[in-house]
Amino acid sequence: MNRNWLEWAVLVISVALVVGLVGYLLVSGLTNGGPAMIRLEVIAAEAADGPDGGWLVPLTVRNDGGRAAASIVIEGTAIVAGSEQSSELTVDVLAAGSEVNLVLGFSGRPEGEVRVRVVGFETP
Amino acid sequence: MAQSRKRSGAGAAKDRARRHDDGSDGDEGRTIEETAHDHLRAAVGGLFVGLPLLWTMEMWDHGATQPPLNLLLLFGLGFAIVVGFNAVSGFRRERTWVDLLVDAVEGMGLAIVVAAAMLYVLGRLEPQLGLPTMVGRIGLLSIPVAFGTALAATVLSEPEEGGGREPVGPIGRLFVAAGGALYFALNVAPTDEVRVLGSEADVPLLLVVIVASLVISLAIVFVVELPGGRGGSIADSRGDGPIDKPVGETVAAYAIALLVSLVLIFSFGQSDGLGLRALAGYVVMLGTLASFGSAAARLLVGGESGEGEGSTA
Repeated sequence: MNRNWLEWAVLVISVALVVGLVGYLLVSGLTNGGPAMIRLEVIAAEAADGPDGGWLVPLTVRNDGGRAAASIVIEGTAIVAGSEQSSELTVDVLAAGSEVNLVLGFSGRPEGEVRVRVVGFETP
Repeated sequence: MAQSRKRSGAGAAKDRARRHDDGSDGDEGRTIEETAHDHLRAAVGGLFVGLPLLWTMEMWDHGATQPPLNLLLLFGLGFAIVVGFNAVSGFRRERTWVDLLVDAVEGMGLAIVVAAAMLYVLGRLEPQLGLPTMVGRIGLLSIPVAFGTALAATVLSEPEEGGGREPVGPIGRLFVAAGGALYFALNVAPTDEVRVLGSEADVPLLLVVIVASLVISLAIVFVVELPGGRGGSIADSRGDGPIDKPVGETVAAYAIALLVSLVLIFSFGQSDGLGLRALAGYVVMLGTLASFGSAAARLLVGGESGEGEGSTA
């Protein structure tokens, strides 16, 4: 059966895509990347827009492990106006190798360092 | 894919005539326009079948979180079904295994492109997600899209193209049943409903569900008058093999539907930590959809299996 150049192009690209996908899944499946490893990185706090917005603390949550994590509860603690205040967020799903940006809210300007920690997560 | 070198309209008729003359498959190849048209049609078929799942959150999540080898298992199952579907659909023409494999690889390749493009359009593919998530999502969602590209050959082709369709034998029909079961159940397997229905059903209900699944499947293919069905042929005893007869085929198709359900439940991690009794509940409940799909798909390939050569194909 003769094939024209477009058929050849489709075939070559298809083979490349299928082999690439299967190869990637196979290699990443066989090399165990270990359990989920959640890393938190706080970016400097900034005043929120609006009259009663308080202060917002953006942070990046990254999963450096080889498995996904679900229902990741993240807690941030800071001293606001002399007393300790905590703020909590939940990330539904964080796949291996991916990251997500979150923003923690505080009622006023945090004094000193904002401490963040992972309270816990599910291993799906 | 099968349709990539298929003749359309008048060209098809001419081609069939030529094959009658010299017994060979037309060797003059396709024009660029025909090839482009075939692949566009396949892409439309892929969207037609794949869009609902491209719009399903559980599919994005499972593409991201399932172990790569589970995704690979599903991709392999999807590939096998596309090969099988290409083998039993379309024209009565000689196709070698190499042709079938080439068609299936092209179908999967096109499906990967379509799935990736749609995921991007929906904002589900962003570099921030990381390569494992992006590849996982594309791999998982290319499966239903690939079914669409294969179906395009049968459903979206011009009516006269169906005229030369090969009767499908009982084994081929079971292959088609597996494809229909996989497509229907794939829509639901990753969702929470499987867990809710499966874990809440008690044994008497499960028995009712099994009977209902069998009766519905039997009715769709052999009782109700539907295009492509064998309505009214419930007492038909043509064919020699045990799965040529309506009840035999229905039971065999149901068994395949349950098997497909089991593979899906495993692949989507729904069986992790599950007891045997609960697993049976999951499989039987998901089996209602899978068996419906297995029946609907057999309508697509028509009801000629009891006639002559078809029963031995």
